Amino acid sequence: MNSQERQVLAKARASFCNFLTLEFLHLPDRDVVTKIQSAEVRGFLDRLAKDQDVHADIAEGAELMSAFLEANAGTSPDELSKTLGVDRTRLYRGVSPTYGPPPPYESVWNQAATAANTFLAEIAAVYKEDGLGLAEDAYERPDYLGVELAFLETLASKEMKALKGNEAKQAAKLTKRQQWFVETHLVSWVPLFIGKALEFAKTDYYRGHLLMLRGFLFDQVEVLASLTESETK
Amino acid sequence: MSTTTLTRREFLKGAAAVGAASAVVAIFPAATPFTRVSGKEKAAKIEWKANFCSGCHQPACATRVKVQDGVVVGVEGDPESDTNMGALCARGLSIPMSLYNPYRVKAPLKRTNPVRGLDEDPGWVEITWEEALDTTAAKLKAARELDPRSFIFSRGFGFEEQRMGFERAFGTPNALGTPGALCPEHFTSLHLSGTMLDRADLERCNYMVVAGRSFGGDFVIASSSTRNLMNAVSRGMKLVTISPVDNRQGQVGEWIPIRPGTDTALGLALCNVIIHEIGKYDEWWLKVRTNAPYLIPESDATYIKDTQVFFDDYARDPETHKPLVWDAVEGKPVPFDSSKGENYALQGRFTVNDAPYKTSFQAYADYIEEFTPEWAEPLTTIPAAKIREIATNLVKEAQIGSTIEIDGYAFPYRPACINIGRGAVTNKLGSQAYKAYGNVNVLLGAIDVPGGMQGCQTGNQWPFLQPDDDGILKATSTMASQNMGTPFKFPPDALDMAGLYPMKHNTTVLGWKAILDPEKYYIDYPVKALMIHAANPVTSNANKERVIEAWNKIDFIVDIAYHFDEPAVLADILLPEDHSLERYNAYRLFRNEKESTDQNRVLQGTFIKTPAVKRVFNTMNLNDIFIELAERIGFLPDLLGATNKSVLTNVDKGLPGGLSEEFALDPESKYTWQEILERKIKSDFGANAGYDDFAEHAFKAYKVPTVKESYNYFYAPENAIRQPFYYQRMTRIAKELMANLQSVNAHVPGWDDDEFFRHYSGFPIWYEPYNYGVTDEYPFKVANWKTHFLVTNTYGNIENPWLQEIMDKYAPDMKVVMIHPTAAEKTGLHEGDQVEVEAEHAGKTNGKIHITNLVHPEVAGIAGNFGRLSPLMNPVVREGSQFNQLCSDEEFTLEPVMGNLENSPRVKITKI
Repeated sequence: MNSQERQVLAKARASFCNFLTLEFLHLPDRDVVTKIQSAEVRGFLDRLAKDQDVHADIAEGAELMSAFLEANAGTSPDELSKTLGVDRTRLYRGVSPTYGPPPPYESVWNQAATAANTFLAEIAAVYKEDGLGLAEDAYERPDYLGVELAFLETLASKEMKALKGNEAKQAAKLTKRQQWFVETHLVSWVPLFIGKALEFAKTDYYRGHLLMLRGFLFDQVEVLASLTESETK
Repeated sequence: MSTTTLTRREFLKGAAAVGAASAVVAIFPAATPFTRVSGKEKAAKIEWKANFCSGCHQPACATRVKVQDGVVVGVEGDPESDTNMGALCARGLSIPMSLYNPYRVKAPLKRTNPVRGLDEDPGWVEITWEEALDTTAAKLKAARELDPRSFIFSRGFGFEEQRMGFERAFGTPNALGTPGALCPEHFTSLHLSGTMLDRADLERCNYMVVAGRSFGGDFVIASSSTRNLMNAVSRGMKLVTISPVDNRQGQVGEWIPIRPGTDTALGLALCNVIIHEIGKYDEWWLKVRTNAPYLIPESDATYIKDTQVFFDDYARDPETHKPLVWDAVEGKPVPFDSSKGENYALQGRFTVNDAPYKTSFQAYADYIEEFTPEWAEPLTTIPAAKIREIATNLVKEAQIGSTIEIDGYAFPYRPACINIGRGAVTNKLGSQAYKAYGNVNVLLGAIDVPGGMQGCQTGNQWPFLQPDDDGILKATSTMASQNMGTPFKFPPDALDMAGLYPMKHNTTVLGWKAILDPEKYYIDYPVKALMIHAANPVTSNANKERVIEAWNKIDFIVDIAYHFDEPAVLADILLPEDHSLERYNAYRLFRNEKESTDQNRVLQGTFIKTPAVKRVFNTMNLNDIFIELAERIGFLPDLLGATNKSVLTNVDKGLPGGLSEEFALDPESKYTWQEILERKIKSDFGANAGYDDFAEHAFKAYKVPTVKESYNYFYAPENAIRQPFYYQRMTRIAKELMANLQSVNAHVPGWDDDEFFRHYSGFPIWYEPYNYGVTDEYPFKVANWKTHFLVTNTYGNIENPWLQEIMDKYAPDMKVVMIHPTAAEKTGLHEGDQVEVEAEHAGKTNGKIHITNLVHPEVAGIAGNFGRLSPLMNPVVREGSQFNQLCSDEEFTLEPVMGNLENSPRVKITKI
C-alpha cells in the first residue's frame, strides 16, 4: 500500500471515529437532530448498511440507525430530540447499573485498571505524551469513552498529516501508538460495555450506534495490526 | 484474532465506505475534548494545591491535594494548619474517589416521565445549563409571584461551606432542613452557655461523664476530637460513657449501659444524690451565677396528666418587676441584681407580701427528693450503687471551691462534668434530660470555666454573653430561638409550625404533613416549588412514604445534586454542583464542638479554597447557580445586598462578617462567586490580598491572644449573667403560646394540649412515655448513632469505595443489627441471620444480626443510615439497615419542645 492509499485509510479511520464520537460529545438537541435527519447522514448510513466490505456490525448498525430515522421521518425534531436524549442519557451518561449500563469509563470496566484516580492519572499521562490535555470546557473524565475515542481520532488524523508530509517514520510510530491504545485500552473494555448497553438500549438508533462502534473497534484491531505488520516487513 | 487477513483491496474498499463519514461530520459542530499542552515530557507533572476538606459538617481541616497531570491522586492534611496539624481522617483521605465518582450527576438533567416515585423511571435527558436554569427560574418566579411562601428550600449537612442566602432573599419562611431531626444537640448549650453547641474541656477535665455523645473515635474530626481525647485519657482523665451501646470512646474508659430514653431519670437521681446525700454543691455558683436563689411561690403541687409540673413565675418586685431573691443578711426580699449575690439565700421558705415563697433551689430539692437511685435503678437499669458512685465522683473531682490561675486571671476550677449528646436526648423526654443533666453541671458550677463544659464559641466574637431583663443568659446568635422562643403568628407562616413549637430545633417532618393536610395545620397557601440542596428529606427524616406523597403535590422539584440519591430520583430538574475540589469557596472557623484544648479553643480563622483541578463534569458552583437563578427570577439585588452583610460569619472586628464598604457589591451589578469571594478576601485582609495568599495554605488562623480569653467566664464573670436552674423562660414561652392559641381558638395540631405543655415545665419532668421499655411483641428498643464514615452523609461518603472497604474490613458494627447474647437466646436469633426489623409505630428495614456484648440487653443497635433506597446510586449503598425507616412522624412520638424524632423506637425482629 502506498503512502497515498495509507493517507486515504487514515483519513477514513479518523472520520469514522469522529462520526462515532459525536454521540458522546454532543447533546442530541434540536439542531443536532435536524442534522441527523439530513440527507447526508441518511445517505451515508444507507450506503454503509449495504456495503459488503465493512465489518458486519457496522453494516447492521447502520441499517438500524437508518431504519430508525426512516421510521421517524415525520417525528418533530423536538420529539425526536427527547426520544434520543433519554436513550443517550441512559446509555452514555452513566447514571446507574440499574438504569443503564455501568458508566462508560474505562476504570469501571477494565479489570486491569488500578484505583480510579491512579488510573485516570495514567491515562492523562498517555494523552500528555502526545501533547494533549483535556480542554477547560471538556467536562468529562479522561477515561470516558467519548474522550478515548476522540484520542484515537486525533492519532489517526495526525497519522494522516504525517503521511501527507512524507513523514513515514512518524506515521508508522502513530500507527503503532493507535494499535497499542486500541488493544490496551479501548478493546479491553468497550465491547463489554457495548454488550451491556445493548441490553438497555430502547431505540434502534443507539442499538445501531453501539453495533457500529463495536464493529469499528474490532475492525481497528485488524487494520492496525496489518498496518504495523506491513511496516515491519 | 488474525492480524494479517486483510487484503489491500479490502482495506481500501472499507475505507471508502467509512471514509464518507468525513462529509457527514463536517455538518456537525466541531468538538474535541482536547487542547494542546506544551512539552511532551514523559515525567508526570506533580503539583500540590492548598485546599480544605468538606468531608464532614465541620470543614476545618486544611489539606494539600496532590495533582498529577491534572488528576487528583492524593490528599493529605496540611501540616502547617493550626486546626488539623497534618492529620486527616478516612473521609478526608477518601475524597478523591468522590471527585471521580462515576455515579455523580455529570450534567444538568431533566425528567421526562411526569410520574414521580422511587420505582419510576425518571426518563432523564441531559440538557444544557441554559435550559436547566431557564426552566427552573420560570417555575420559581411563578411561585414567588403567587406567594413567596409557596417555595420550600430544603438544605442539609452535605454542604457546610459558605452558601448564599438564596431562600431568605427569595422571601420564603419555608427552609425545611434535614439536619437536626435526630440531633437536637443544642438545648443545654444555648441555655447554659448562650452558644449553639458546647465543648468539653479536654485540657483540664479530670472526670467526664459522656451521656449519649459521639466523639473521639466515634466521630473523628481530624481538626480535633480524637487526638485530644486520647491525650486527655493518657494524662489520666477518667471517661465514663453512659450509652445503650459500648462505642469506641466507651472502650477507652468505663461503659455504663442504660435503657434508651431514660437519661432524664438518671439525671434526676444524680441531682438527688448530690443535693440530698452528698450535700455538697457549688453554692457560690448557684447564688451568684444562676437563678437558683430566685423566689417562686410555695404552693400545692401542680400536676398535668399525673406529672408534677412547675409553671410559676418568680416573685417580682412590684415596681421594677424584677425577680426577687431573699437577702439572708438583710433578711428581706430584694431584686436579683441588688448585689453580686453571695448573701442570697439558696435554700429556705420565705414570706413575701404575705404570701409563701421558696427559692427555686429549694423547690427543686423538694421536688427531686423522691427521685432516689433506687427509684432510678429499675427505670435506667443502672444499679443504684453505680449512680451514687458517679455522683460522688463528679462532686469529688469537681474540686468545688477551688480556683485556677491562667494568664494571671483566677477562674473557678471545676474539672468534672457531664457531656451531653444526641443519644441521650433524642427521645420524647429529650429536653427533660437536658434540664436534668444540665442541673448536674450547674450544681457543680462546671460551665464555661476551666475543666467544665464550654460554649462552642469564644466570647471575643461579639457580646453574646448577655442577660435578659431577669438577669438570665439569653442566646443572641445562631439558633437563638431555641432559647428565646419564636414569636407567635397565626395562621402560621411556616409549614414546619415554627411559631407553634416556639423552641423547636427541627420539625421538618411536620412540613410534609402540612402539605398533605393544610387545613389541619392552618396553612392557607399552596406549595408550588421545592429546591433541595445537600439534603435528603426522604431518608434522613421519617416516613418516606409521606414525604413522597407530599412531594407529589408539589408542581416542581429541583435538586442541586451531587449524586442520584432519593431526592434526585424524585426531582424534575437536576442541577449538578461542583465537587469540593473543583470550587472556589470559604469557611469561617468560629467555633469548635464537642471538645476543646488550649490549642484549639483560641483558634478561629478563615479557610479559602480554589479549584484543585478543573471541573471533571459539566457542573457549576452552588453560589453561581443561586446568582444565575436570582437574576432570572428578579431578586439578584436582594441576594447581593444580603451577601454584603452576611458573607462569612463574624469573628470579631478583626474578622467581621460581610463585606466592608470599600468592597461591597453593587446590588445592581452581577458577579461570579469567584469575584465575590475575592472581594471578601480583600475586605478582610487588605486591598492587596487575594487568592494567592491562600495558595500555599488554605487556612489563616486568627487566635484569641491568651488562654484566659478562651474561657467565656472571662468575658462575663461573677453575676454578669445567670444560668437557668429553674427554666422559667421556658414556662413563660409555653404560657404565652397557650394564651395565644386560646385567643384564636386553635391547638398545636396533632397534640392533646396537656400532653404538649407539660414538657415545658420549669424543672425536668419524668413519666414513662408511650414507648418506655420493651414488650413481648416488641422486645427491642433501637439505639442508633452517627458513624465516623457517614457522619453527615457529606459528598457521597456512602458511595465512596474506599470508605466502604474500610467499613467492610475493619468495622464489624457497621451495616448490622447488633443484639446482646441474652436477647439472641430469648429470640432464637443467630449470628448472620438475615432479619426484618419492624417498628411499633413506623416502618421496616432489613438487616443482618451481629451478636455482641457491646449493647444493652434490650437494644438492637443500628449504626448510621445505610440501606439506601435510591435505585440509581452505586449499588453498594443498599447494603445494611436503614434506621430512619423505623422513625415515626406521628406527633405523639415527637419531643414537644425541640421537635425531634424518637431515636429509640420499640421494634420486633423477625428472621427472613
